[in-house]
Amino acid sequence: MKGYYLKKVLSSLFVLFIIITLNFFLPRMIFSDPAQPYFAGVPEDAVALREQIREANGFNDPLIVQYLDYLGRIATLDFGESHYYKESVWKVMFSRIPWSMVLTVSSMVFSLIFGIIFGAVAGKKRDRAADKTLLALSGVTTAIPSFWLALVSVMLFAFTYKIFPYRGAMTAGYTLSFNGTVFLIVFACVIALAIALKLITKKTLFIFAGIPVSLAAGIFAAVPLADIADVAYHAALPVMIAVFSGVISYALLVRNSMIAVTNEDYILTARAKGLPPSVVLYKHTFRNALLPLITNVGMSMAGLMGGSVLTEKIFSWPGMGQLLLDACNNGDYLLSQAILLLFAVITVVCNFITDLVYHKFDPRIKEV
Amino acid sequence: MKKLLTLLLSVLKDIGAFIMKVLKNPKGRTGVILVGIVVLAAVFAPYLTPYELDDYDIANGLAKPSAAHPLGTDKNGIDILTQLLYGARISLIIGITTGLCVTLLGATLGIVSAYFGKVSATVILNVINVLLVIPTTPLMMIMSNLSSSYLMMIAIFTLIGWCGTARMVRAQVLSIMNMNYIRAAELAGGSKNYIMFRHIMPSVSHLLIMNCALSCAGFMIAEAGLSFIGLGDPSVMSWGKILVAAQDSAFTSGLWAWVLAPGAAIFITVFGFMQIGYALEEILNPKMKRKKDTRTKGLAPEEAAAAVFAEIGDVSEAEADALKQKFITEGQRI
Repeated sequence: MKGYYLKKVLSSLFVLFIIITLNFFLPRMIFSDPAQPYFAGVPEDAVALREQIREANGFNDPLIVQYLDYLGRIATLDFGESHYYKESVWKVMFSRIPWSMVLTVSSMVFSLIFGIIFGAVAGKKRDRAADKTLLALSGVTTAIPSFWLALVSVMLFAFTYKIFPYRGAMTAGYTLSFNGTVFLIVFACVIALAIALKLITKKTLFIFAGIPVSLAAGIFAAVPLADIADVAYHAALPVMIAVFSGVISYALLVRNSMIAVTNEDYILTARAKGLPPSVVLYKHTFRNALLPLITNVGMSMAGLMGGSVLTEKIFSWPGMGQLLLDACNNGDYLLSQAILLLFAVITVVCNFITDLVYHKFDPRIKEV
Repeated sequence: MKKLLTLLLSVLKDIGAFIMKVLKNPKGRTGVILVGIVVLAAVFAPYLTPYELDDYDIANGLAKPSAAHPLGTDKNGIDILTQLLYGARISLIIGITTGLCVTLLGATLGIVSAYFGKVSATVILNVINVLLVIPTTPLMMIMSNLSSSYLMMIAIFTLIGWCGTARMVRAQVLSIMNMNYIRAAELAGGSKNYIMFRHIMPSVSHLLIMNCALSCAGFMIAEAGLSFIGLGDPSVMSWGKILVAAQDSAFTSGLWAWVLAPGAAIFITVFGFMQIGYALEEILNPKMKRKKDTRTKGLAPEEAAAAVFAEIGDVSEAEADALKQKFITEGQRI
């Protein structure tokens, strides 16, 4: 078991190393002169000044020295300064992540709730109306690009019928007020409560539930209700579209795994020993059918901070996807490098956690 | 000479019989008809519309659909239908080429990793593991700065997309390798290459053909998405680009046809390819015919495939789920 996780850690580190190396070489392949973004505002003919900038940022060193230098900076978590925003890359990224999470977290929560319900209803009995509807819908959502659905709904709900706003995360001119101290106090209190409950009842569930609940409580305490309402109003349309396809994909997953579980021997045993059908369905089939969902949710966790480029572009949502897109278009490569690395780290960590959780919930799984 | 001719005839006959089988399958029929319409439209685009892609007519910009312009015109007065027809070309080229490349590369590497020794297996599996964890969307976006040509897009899709196919093929080959008929062939003195081409290839071919059709569909959606965020080839028209322009001007002027038509075109093409893929799976996969096979009973085809992989070992349950995700929704994940 330990060997398995050691191997996993090593391979994760290897992945990160590859990403860092790609990060170093890609800008040097994309730009004829990788120092170009540093020249913002420096006139074309100021050759001496340009040479100075080049020298100061180490672009005249041999490639291997530059590479080692880059590795050193990554090791100290120094991503440099974005050329476009003139601010530290960390600061730029962290101002955007919460906005992406507003969309992704809320759509994931709604998709999971409705997806599990829909999937359970459809998987209960094959070829019923619910099942057929689900299969037909899944055919449609795989074949239609979700960004087109978003476009059509924007045109319908924001332009033809002006029900929802069509761009931005808040009404123009508004800024979100966020009370940091209140957030920290509420967050700490709820987390402490969760830990206390865990220690008393010895159920890990409280820790799992405690983290999201305390975060949510902190945010609701720290942000004025009017601001939350405004953001929710702006987020409604993008979230609904994400939930539409999310519900169907989670429901399909639950349905298929319910059907697969129904064919297992232990379900036959449960029926044979005379358990009522509803007990077999909810205690045996449904619970086991939720297992594949763990992997799926774990993998989409990685995407939570990343947001969706297409949705954020369509709704001009100030999130990470939009930031990455702008960074790519502006040639702001220090920023795009950092985003790629951050995503990779999140993915690796999420995969690792998913693995741990899966092993905990499903002891049958073999250690490869 | 005569021998060659008869051989050619028999091959043609086989192909003909296979096509008839596809056409007899209801899903196959729908798929072939839908894809056929799109292919014909793309090939004969210059004959189907009197306009060109650079027929500016600014006075007639943002026109509502009319007899002269069935889908209206854009800001510069260029006919939307013309854009749609020419856009079909790039969508099909990228979808089909990438589908083929991914399948070929994935199949080769998958078979090599399963059948040609430990070293190649370790190398390939490690590369796959890296590719599965790398966040593909940002990487694709950053890499598309390398060159804006659509060939670059095909290259990027292929480089990133082959690993799903390779794992699938590897799993299938590993399960076949333990079967008695392969053992028998080895005992009879068949060389590795002979066994691979004669026995292993045919048994994974059905997976490959289905996978190819499904990945074509997936990459078409991905292409539309990438060109929508402005990372497509600026010199060619594509469906994603029509939608970008539509977002700028069609919304405010209520030109519904402009927004609906490209989406419908994408849907028809992708749906067509998916139907062909499912039909091929039904025709070629003997396991699907055995309705008793509890692993696949009642599952959607791509799920069924993943369920089978989950059972044949090598791919653990968690990985099979990941595989399923990779399978077709590739394009939806941007």
